[in-house]
Amino acid sequence: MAEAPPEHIRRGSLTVVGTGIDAVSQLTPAARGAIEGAEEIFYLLADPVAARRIESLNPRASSLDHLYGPAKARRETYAQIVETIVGTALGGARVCLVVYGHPGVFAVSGHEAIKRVRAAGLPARMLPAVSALDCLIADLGVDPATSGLQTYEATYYFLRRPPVDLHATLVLLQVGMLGETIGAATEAVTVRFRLLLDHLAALYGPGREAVLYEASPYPGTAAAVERFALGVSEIPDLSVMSTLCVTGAGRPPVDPEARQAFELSERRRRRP
Amino acid sequence: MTAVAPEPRLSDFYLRLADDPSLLEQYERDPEAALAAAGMTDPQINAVHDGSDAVRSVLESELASEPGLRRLVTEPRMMTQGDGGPEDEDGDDDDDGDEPGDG
Repeated sequence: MAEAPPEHIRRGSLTVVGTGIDAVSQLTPAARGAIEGAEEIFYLLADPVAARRIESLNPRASSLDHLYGPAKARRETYAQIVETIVGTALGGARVCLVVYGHPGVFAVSGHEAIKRVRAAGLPARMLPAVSALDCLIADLGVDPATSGLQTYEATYYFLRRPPVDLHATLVLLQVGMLGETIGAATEAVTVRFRLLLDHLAALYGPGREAVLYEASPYPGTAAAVERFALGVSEIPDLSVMSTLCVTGAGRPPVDPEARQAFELSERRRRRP
Repeated sequence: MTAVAPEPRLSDFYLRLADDPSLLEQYERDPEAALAAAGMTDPQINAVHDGSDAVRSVLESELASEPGLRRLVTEPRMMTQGDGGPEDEDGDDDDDGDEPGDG
């Protein structure tokens, strides 16, 4: 671990990193370097192996889990996380925030902390990592190039109903916390999930394949994958970390005007 | 009296995997053999087969008996809210007030 420079030349900074979903085999060398080199390190991880690994890489690491509460508004928690990180960086420390997955995907505090540290004139950066969506693509064999991919946070999708391309794969993250603004899921999530599935069955028509998915945080252990037919099969059991995926099917027809424009550009290219 | 060696912890095995590329390679090739060679018990090996809920359950009981490590067992937490509901019209995941964060 790096030694802190003398007080008169200390200049704070922030690096936000992710462990990937499986902190054993997906932590990047760049993220590891940032963790080992940090003077102050905070983490939010979903699994005790990941927490042990981060603490073994840097004994200064401390969890921010105590900022969550079962009935506490998550917005309040996120604000406190940002305050803790930014305050420490502005105090002159080289700070690292470690979260599970990708630190910028479905993770608000890192983005906000970076904005505020930069606004104070100090360096801040985010390093990319493996997200739950990356794991889903690998485990379910989804290629976004085939029919497109739409991704939403489940509550956002349920409340806002953005337009859906029925050919594309639809991925809704955080269905296990659907409609919850507090730290822990309540029984209401199951009721809301049923309403969401009813909406999707009406949208796609009954029988469209859906998957309830949960990436594995442990190497060598398979992801949890439960396939079912919307509006037909029994509804599978949710967990807090579940992701819902409605798999893509076919492609929309080619737009005639777009085809004509392509042909025209090709003819122009060939003209001597 | 002969001292009884403590049962090896699955979380220790995972930490070794993280720092030992040759062990990871062996594990990728034959997980069961690598786990057995590391002294893991049948319930631990079965858990790795059975899925992440089973692994988590083994890890939690291992760490629950260790005063220094028990604190590492926490609930998975969400890191974004995504939508604050009908009042969150700007959709920026904040409180529209002076409170920092949540951006």
